[in-house]
Amino acid sequence: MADVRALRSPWSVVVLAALVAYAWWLSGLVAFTTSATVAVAVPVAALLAVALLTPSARAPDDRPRPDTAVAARRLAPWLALVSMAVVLEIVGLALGGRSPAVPTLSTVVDHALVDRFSRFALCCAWLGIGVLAVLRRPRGRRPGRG
Amino acid sequence: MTVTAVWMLLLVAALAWEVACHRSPGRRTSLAEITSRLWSGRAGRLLLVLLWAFVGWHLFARHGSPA
Repeated sequence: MADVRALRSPWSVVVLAALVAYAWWLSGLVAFTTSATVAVAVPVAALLAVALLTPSARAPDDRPRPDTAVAARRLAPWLALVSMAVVLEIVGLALGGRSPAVPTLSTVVDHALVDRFSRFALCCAWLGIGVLAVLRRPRGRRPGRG
Repeated sequence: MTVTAVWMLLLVAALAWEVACHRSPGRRTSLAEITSRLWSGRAGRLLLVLLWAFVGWHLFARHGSPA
């Protein structure tokens, strides 16, 4: 998860303001244009750089590994939700992708994207997830635990 | 309309489950935990960035107007 100390620093206000400004600008761009593609590509390139440059965290040896059956049971609700979403998406796509009876997730979201403010809100959420990933504290590196 | 409601229901269920996971840590696996685990390795990080990039590209660079 994100480093809480980083979120409390005065820089977080600057980052938040930049994120909101960027989201507002991005949400105003017309789809299928070079400017919209570049505006999406810039934060993607930044996060890709972070992903490539961040050293991989080593899991501490003293941490007990969860049983496979337990792990599968804990993941079951997520797998069920994803499976239902995948089935709905496949049925929607099989019906042409724009079926009013069985719309795909993209078609449902497209309705929200018509309005500038909902597009701005989605944009803030998308950029926010990226910023949280950058601020994330590496797992398994605790001081004094070797 | 019904399927749109099902999509909304799935979203609400996912959010509710995520909240439930955070209320009882250790007993359930949250989405944050799954992504955090994925982010620990380079391959997982690249997968998450790819997924994030696809969502951004699809939503803000390639979205179409509803018919």
